[in-house]
Amino acid sequence: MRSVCLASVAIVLAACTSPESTRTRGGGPGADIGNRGSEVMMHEGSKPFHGTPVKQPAQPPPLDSASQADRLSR
Amino acid sequence: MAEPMGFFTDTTVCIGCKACEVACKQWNQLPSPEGGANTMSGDSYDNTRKLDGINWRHVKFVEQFSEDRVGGRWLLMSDVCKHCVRAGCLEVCPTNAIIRTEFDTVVIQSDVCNGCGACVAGCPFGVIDINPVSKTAQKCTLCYDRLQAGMEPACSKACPTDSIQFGPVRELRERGAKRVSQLNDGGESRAYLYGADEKMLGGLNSFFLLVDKPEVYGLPPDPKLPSRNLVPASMFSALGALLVALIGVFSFRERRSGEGEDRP
Amino acid sequence: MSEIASSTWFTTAPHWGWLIVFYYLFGGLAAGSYFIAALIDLIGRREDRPIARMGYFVAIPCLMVSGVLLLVDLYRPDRFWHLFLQSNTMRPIFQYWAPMSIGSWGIIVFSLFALLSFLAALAESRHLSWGWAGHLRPPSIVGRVIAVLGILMAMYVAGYAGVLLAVTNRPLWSDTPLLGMLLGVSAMSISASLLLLIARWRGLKFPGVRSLDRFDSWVIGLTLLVLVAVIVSLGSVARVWLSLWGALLLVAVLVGMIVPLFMRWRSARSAQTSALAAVMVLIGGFILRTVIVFTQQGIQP
Repeated sequence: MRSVCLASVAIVLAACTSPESTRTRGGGPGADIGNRGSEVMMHEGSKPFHGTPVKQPAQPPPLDSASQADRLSR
Repeated sequence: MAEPMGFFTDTTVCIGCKACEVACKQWNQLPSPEGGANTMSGDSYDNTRKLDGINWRHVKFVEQFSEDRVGGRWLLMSDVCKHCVRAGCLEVCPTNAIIRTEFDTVVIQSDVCNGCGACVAGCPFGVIDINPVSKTAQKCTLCYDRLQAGMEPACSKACPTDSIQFGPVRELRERGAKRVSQLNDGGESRAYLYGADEKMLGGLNSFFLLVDKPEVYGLPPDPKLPSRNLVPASMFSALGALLVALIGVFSFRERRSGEGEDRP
Repeated sequence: MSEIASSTWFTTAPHWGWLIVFYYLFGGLAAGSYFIAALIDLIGRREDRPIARMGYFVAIPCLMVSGVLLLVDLYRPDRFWHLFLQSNTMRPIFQYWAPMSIGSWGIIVFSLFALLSFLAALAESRHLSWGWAGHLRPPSIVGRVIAVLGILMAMYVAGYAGVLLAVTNRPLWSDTPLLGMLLGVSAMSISASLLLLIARWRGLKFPGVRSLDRFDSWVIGLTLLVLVAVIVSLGSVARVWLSLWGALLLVAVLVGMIVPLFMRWRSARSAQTSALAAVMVLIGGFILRTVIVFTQQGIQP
């Protein structure tokens, strides 16, 4: 009886450990339960000038040649 | 499933040019700290100081000099997420924002993370922090987007001395072992690989060649998974609850009358 | 660099500050008040039922405050539901190995039981005209089931918070498995003090008020023992408390544990002393939580 109790406690304890703790290299997803879409989004924090003070008006009038290039490229 | 991919960073050939930091910032379009303000550390050429939500590569400068500056050496190491085989961040993430890719790397999905902070405290290497733009946890993705297109990560591509090498982990480990024996033969007996074998968290997919103790480089000598404490901590909590319940039963059960009168 | 006490020295501090300190306070008060109330309901004297009712009344507002604090502590509160539903696959998410996941569900389930008991208490105090709600409290069978399950969930909510700290890689938190026990036991003592304070303030004379006093004293004694065990189990990491935080911890021990115990021992039957001691236990509990949350923040690689 005692051994049954000990065994069941051991099983419960083993079941409580993280699937990550026994993972091996290339050995499946581990604790990743598969919450992902068809495309993985990683770059929500991409904004190179975040927090940079704007010392010139945000959108200067384009130079003539530049505006022509802009028009031609459309 | 593709083969496990990773980095082998040979710190003995790093020259501290920070091209990897710049390439990483460019590819991932990461902002500067404090909106590009000139922030100097003041005591080192290392002005990045740490890995966090906007610094996914960090060249560490360890300046080992004597008081009189006669003898000494530079230890330079380009630090990065270790993409652990057993990842502490991944296992504590409550939203499964942190996933494992087909390249055996660990990636945070920025559209899933809700910024709870569990992975920041769970990472054994202090790699993750909150990105101020997205307000989610972010770190190196081992350029998952480039890998999917068959390209190599931006940092290893930019490294001029091949201190950072990218490839299948199996191949990199052989290369690392060869480099260690080459250094040993040449008289540098302190060289060893940090995290290449399975002993450390099942293996680090980005491992390092070091020539001093890990803690000199700011790396933990014995990193562990956060879940090591789960069962013992739960057991002790349950024990505490049991003891309090016993005290409660003895305190509140029905007693003889006249015992609970207050003095005026 | 001097020798390192633990590999946890190389990790980054999460941004858990005052919001979490207050969450630990209010979450602990909610769980502890419910625990005491349901215990009195189940095994206590009939004349003590108003004290139990008070406990149910305290638990719900404390839970509401806790919920708001946890929500605001997320960097993206708009995504709190990602804790319960996988945002990409829309399946429920429950990771039994991640304390943040099981804790989120635990608070939800506990809130359900706390709400049922709250309704019953409202019905009994005639603030609510739903006659059936009165049966949600013992001695009815349904009430007993709710109280027993609610007690289990309350103990769970009181204890998981410290387990969450242990399942990280931060200095102090993950260097001992005993913080869950410490926070859980302390939650019961501060809750007993809060109920005691309300009872004294309202001038209640039930025998249960004395029981609360006795319960609180024993639990404070237990908290002290657990704290000693925490410091012993930390080993060389305990040197993090050779700092201002350590001094503050000493204040918490003196104000929140030793002095109240002494006061109750000296004048056991004075209502004023008992109320003052209860206030000190609450202040001490708050300082203890501040010390536990903040000590690790200064340690960065």
